[in-house]
Amino acid sequence: MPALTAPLLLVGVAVLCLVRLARGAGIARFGVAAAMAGAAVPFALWTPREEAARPPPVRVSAASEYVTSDVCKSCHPSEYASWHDSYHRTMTQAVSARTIAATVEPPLSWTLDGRAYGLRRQGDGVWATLPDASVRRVVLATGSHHYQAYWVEGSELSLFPFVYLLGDKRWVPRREAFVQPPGPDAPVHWESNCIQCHTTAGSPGYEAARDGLRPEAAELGIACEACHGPGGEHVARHADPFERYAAYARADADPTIVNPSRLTPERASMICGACHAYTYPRDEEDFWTHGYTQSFRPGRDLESAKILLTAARLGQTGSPTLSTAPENLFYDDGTVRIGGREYNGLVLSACFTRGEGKRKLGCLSCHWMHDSAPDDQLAAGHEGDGACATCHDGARYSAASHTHHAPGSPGSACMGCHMPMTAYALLKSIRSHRIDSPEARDVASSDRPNACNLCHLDRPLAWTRSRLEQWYGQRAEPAGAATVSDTAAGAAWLLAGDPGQRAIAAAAMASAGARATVPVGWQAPLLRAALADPYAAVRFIAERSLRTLPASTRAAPADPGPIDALVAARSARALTLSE
Amino acid sequence: MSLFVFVSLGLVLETLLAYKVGSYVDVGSEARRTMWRLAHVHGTGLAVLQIAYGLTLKSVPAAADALTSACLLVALGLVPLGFFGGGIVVHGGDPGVLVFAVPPGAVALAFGVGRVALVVARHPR
Repeated sequence: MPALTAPLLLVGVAVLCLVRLARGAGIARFGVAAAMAGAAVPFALWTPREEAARPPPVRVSAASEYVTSDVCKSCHPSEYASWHDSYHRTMTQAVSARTIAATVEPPLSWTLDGRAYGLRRQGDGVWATLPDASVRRVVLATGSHHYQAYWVEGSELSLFPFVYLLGDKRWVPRREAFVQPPGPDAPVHWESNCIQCHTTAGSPGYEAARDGLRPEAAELGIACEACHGPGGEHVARHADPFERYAAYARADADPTIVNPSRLTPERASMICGACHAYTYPRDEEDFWTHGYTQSFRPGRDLESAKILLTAARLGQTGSPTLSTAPENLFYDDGTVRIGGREYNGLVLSACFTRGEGKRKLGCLSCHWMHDSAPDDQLAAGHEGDGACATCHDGARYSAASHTHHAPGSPGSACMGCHMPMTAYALLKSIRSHRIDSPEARDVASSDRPNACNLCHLDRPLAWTRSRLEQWYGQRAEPAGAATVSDTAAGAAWLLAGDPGQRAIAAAAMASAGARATVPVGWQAPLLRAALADPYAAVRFIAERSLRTLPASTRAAPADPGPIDALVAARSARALTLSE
Repeated sequence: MSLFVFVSLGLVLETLLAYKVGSYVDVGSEARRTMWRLAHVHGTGLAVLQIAYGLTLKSVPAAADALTSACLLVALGLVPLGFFGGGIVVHGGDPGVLVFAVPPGAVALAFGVGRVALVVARHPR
């Protein structure tokens, strides 16, 4: 209806002019007036055309409670600016020459599994050539930090099978960015899956009448209202300046909007956990219709809308059937092994389960969405050991008597031991967000690589276990029961581990901790062997790690015998670590 | 004196801009920037108005009136200082509470100027 207001106004003015000018009754004047009115009609009927590139998933109804970040900007310019610099904003973007990270001029072409694909730019748009020779517009891009994936228009959006790695400035088949066995990629559904977390208030919009989806979102990317909740009521209330100044004077919580920093750490973390966790809907029917836009809002209990998927819950009645084995998502101690699911790790951390009040660990204990560096969005002063020292005695725990490492060395950093790089995502290893300590009893029995050996890659697990027993009085229970390999742990993980362990070990080979502890040149022959790994992601990481080593150390091993033996023992498990 | 003060404020603002002082040029300081610019412009303009009023009295002595003079002086005080004060503490996109001094100053200005205009209009040429 508002769209009709301007044309109706224009026609009204034209009619008034007509009546006014025609009052003189002169035929010439009437003719002039009629011509003016006639000329006005096309303008009245003309409405600006919707921009052709406007992607179909962005459909916000007039009655929406969401107002979008453009509205937030006028009153919260600083917060808007810091969000605007973040990768959250650009998580999903409408594709144009400005938003596509890759250069597609001159046109690009690839062949994958004998099928031809291409990308080219035309005007401000990007077009994909598909194996059936059809040319379709690329409408959405997801990702802007590590890699960018592209969605091609159609009755359903389909994922273009190549992604662009921003750091390496190269294209790779999307399936190779995941730790998954060689072979065809599983289909990915924007409308029912990605839209949940890669947009603000996304929903599949299932319509029973036509048995189809009509996805919609308040905004592309993760915008203000993803964390603060819908802003319609807040904006309406604060349009009145007196109301605003009264609110400044009160300085209390505004009930019309959610400020995560005023929530308990548990509730604030649930906002992040809505996306940074493996979950499944409590009410599946409601999910298909509304996504989580009705069942979950920032500040509410996440468990009322989403059931956190944990290793313990998998296989229970009502839990979803996964396309992958549980051990591909979780280590045998329940720790999530996929990056981007940090909430799964947080809720198992003692700092979360045993923390009380403000000393309870939450996402905002370390991260801050505004005024923080876009990479990890760590709060000011919370880099390095700073975050831990807000609760723990920094002097005591940074002392060599606790760390048993030289001050300033990688092994003396809190995160080195308590948040080891044991999660995989985006062609790299990522810190585990299950904050815990290396335990002698788990060193040999768990499939999770332990923090010690992720630096001391050349040491066997037995060495690590004895150090933990000696330094911290831990006891492997039952004492000595587990068989401990005398092979260097890093070599065993890289060449004989499961695909996830292999990817993590390949990344660890280039870490500062490994370079500081293992003999010069030790990693090179192992990484060379990993270049023949059946999993593309492992090969990719191994190649990248190899490049960080001094050229003089990259020579072939003098005696490949032990390496061959490890490769022969490689786990054949078809691990599929996917999003 | 007031002309000197508010012209000098312009120099101060240019200096803040030149040295990219964060509390003046940052995105979050847009309201402050706007308020202080308004203080500078209005202060300078109203100071010039005082001079114009003084010159008017030479040719139209009947315009000399304590109430009119008080209105213009109140405007000279409240409008620019309200804007300046509103820029000291800002709430996101909103100026501080001192900006509420501006509307009374604006009313005083309109009243004062209106009175002068009436007298001048009635003054025989």
